[in-house]
Amino acid sequence: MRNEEGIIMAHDVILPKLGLTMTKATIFQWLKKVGDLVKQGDDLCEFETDKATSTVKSDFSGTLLKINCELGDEVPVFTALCSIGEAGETPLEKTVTLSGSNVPNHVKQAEAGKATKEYASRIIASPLAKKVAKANNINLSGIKPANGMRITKRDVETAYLAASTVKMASSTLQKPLDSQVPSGNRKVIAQKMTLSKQTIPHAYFKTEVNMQRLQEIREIVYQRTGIKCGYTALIARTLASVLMKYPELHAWYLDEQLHTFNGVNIGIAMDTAMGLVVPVISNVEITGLLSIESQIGIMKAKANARQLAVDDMQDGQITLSNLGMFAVDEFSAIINPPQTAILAIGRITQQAVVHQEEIHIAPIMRMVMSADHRVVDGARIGSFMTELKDMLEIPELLLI
Amino acid sequence: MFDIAVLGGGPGGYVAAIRAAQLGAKVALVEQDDLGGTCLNRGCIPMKSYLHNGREYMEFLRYAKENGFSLQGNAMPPQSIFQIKNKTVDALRRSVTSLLKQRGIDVFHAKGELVSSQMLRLEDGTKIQAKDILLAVGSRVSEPPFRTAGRSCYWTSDDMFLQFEVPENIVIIGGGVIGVEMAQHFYHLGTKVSIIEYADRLLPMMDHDVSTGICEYLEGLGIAIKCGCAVQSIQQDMVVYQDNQCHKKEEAFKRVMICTGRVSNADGLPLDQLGIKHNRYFIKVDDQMHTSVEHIYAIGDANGRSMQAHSASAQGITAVENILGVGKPLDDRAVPQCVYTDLEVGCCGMTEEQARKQYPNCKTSIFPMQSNGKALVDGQVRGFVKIIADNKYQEILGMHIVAAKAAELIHTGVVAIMGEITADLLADCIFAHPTLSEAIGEASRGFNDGAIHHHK
Repeated sequence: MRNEEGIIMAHDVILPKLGLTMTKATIFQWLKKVGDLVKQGDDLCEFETDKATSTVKSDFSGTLLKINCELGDEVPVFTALCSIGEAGETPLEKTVTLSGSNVPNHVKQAEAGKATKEYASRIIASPLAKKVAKANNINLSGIKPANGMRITKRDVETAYLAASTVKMASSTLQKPLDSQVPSGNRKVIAQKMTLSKQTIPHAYFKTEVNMQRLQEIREIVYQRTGIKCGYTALIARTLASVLMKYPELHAWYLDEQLHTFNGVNIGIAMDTAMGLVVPVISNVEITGLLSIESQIGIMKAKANARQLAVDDMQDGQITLSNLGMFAVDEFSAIINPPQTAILAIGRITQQAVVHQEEIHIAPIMRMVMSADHRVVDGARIGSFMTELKDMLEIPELLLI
Repeated sequence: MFDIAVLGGGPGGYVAAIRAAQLGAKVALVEQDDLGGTCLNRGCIPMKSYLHNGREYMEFLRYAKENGFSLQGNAMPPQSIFQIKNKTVDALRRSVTSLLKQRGIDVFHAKGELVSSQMLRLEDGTKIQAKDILLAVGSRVSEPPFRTAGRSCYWTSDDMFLQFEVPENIVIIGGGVIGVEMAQHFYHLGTKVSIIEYADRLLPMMDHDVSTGICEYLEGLGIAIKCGCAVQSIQQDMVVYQDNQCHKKEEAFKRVMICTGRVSNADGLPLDQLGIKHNRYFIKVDDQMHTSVEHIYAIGDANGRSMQAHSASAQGITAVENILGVGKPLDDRAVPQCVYTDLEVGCCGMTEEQARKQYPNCKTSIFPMQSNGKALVDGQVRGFVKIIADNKYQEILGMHIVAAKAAELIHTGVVAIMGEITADLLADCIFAHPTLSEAIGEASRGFNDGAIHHHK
C-alpha cells in the first residue's frame, strides 16, 4: 500500500479473530524468519488460543521485513504480528500491545487512561441540545445525560436552571431587590384567580349547619380507632354523596361545553410549604371516611415536603376549602376553573339557635357555595344546599 | 412462581411477555379470548385488511367498467373481502401463538381474576403466583351516550368483523378515527354514507388542518358530513339528533353504526378493593407504568394514556424492562397516530393548538402535495405536510401529514422528534427524487428560506 506521499509501504500481517469469543492468542512458533521470501498464502507462524491452535497465513507476497512479537507472547486479536514488503524497506515501528500480565503496569494504566480520555472528550448530545447549549453559553462537557447515553434538551435546560438559580442567589445577597416579581406558585395562582373572576359569573349561596351530629361521630370514630377525623373529611364524604345527584356542580365548563363525570373527585385546598395547593381525592363517593382522612394527611405531608406532583392535583371536579381552623366565620371562595363550583367552610362556634320555639346552644358552621351561574341556577343550588345541610345534620341519610 | 404474570394477550400483553422472556424472565400470560386482543381480532388488522381489499375491489370494478369488461357471475364478490380478512387474521393469530410458544411463555387460555398484587386465579381455581403482575386487559366499545331501540338495531366495530354485509346506506355516528375509516370502507362497497359528529369538526383530537383536509376529501367522495350535532336517540330506522343550530333533525337509515368511543376493561378488576388508583377505571400509572400498588403495572388501553396498539406494545416493553431492572421512563412525545382512509393521515407530536399553549411564538410550515412530483405521478395530489417548530431553536414540535401513504411517511417525523433533530437539520437531509418524502424536506425548508417547489 502507498502512504499519503505515494510511497509504497510494507504490509502488516495481523492476528485474525477466529471466532466470536476469541480475544487473544499466544504465539508459539515462527515458521519464517526476517529476510525470508514469502508468497501469498504461506504459513508464517503458529498460535494457540484456549480453544485451538492455528496458523497465520500471509495475505501478501514479499520479504518478511520485521517480526513484532516473540515466542510465548500473548497478543490481542488484530495485532500486527509482522511486516511484509520490499527488501530494503524500513517498515514503520509498531508497538504491540501485549495483553495479560506481560504488560508492565505503567503501560497498562497509560493505555487505559488514554482510552477513557479519548472517549470522554467526545460529547454525545442531540442536535437540539447542542443548539440550546450554544445559545445559552452552557458547557456541554459538564452535563451528565439523564438517560445515561445522550445529552437531550431537557438535560441542558436542567443544567441551565441549576446555574441560574445559583446566579440569582448570589446576586440577591449583593443588592436588595426593589420590587418582587411573583414567581412559581404565586404567579400561577394570580393568573388563575384573575381568569376565574374575569370569566365566571359567580353566584354565592350561604347556609348554616348544626354540626352536633358530626361532632358526635367524630368522637365515636376517635374512641373506636384512635383517629382524630378532621371535619374536612367528614364534609367531603357527605358532599360527594349529594353531588352524585347534581352532576353540574362537579363538572368542567370548557369551550362552552359542560363536561360531567360519573364519580366525584374533590380537590382539597390546603396551605402548605408549597403555598396554596389543591390535591385531589378521586371517587370520594365510594371512599371510606378514614381513607379520605388518610389521603388528606398524606397529601399534606407530601406538599410540606415539596413532593406534591402535578398528577396529585389533576382531575379535580369541585374544590372544598376549609378555613375553620382560623377565626373565619364565613368566606366566599373563588371558583377554580374549569370547575363550576367551590364550597367554602367557616369555623364552628357555639351559638344560640331556635328550635321548636325554644332557645338552645348548638355548634353552628357556616358554609358558602360559589357557583358558575352560566351553568346552574339558584333554585338548583338551593336544592343542593338543602340536601347537603340535611345530610350533614342527619348523617343517617348517608345510609340510604 | 413466575417472574411476571401478564393479564391480557393483546398487543400490549403478548409483546410485554415476549420482551420479558428475552430478558430471561419466567412469564405467564392469561388470555380469556383470542390472542392478539382487539387489534388483531376486531380492530387494526381486520379493518386495514377491509380497507386494502375493499379498495382493490372498487378499483377492479371501476377498471372493468371503464374498459368495457363485463363481469360474469360474481367475479369478485364482496364476500371475498371477508374471507381474505379471516385468513389474514387466522395467520397472524397462529404467528403470535407460535412466537409465544417458541419463547417458552406459559399461556393460559382462561379468564383470570386479579386476587392480589402477586396472584391471579383462573376459572378452574388454578392459582398463578408471580413476583409482579402486568395488567393489559384493554378496552371495549362503550355504551352509546343516548337512547337506542336496543342493541340489535345498531352496529359497532365489533359487529363488522363477525359478518359481512353491504347496506344500501349507512349513518355513522362518531367522526373520530374509527368512524372515518368505516366511512371509507363502506364507500368502497358502494354504500351511501353519512357521518354525524358531536364536535365541530371530524377527527377533533387531531390538528385542525388535518380535520379540514380529511373532511374535504370525504365530502369529495360524496359522503355527507354533519358536525356539531348531538344525537338524542336511535330508533328502529331513524336517528334523531340536534344539529349545530339546535334544530331537531331526523335521518332515516338502513344501517347505523355507533363509533363513540371505548371504555376500560379494568372495571372488571377489583381496583378499589386492592387500592389501585384509577380515573373512571382507566388505571393511573407513572412513566414506568407503575400503578399505585407495588408489584402491579398497567399498560395499553386499560390505562387510557394512548388508545393505540403500538402504545400498548411500547408501554409493555417499558413496564417489563422496569420490572427486570433495565428500564427507563417511557418517552412518548412522538407517538404516531394514523388514519387509513385512502388519503391517509399520519401525525406525531403536538397539534398546532397544543404547541401554541407552550410555545406561543411557534411557527408552522405547510407544503402541499400537489407540488410534489411523485404525488402527481401516482395520481393523488391532495394533502400536505405540515411541520410545527419553535421559533427559537427550530425544535420540531409536531408533524402532520395528509397524503397517500402518510402512515408510512410520518416515521421521518417520529425519528426527528425523538432524535431532537431540528427543522434546519431535517432540511439538510437529502430526500430521494421522486418520492412523497421530498415534501417533508420541502416543508422543513419553509422555516428558513422557503420551499423550492412551492411559493406562498
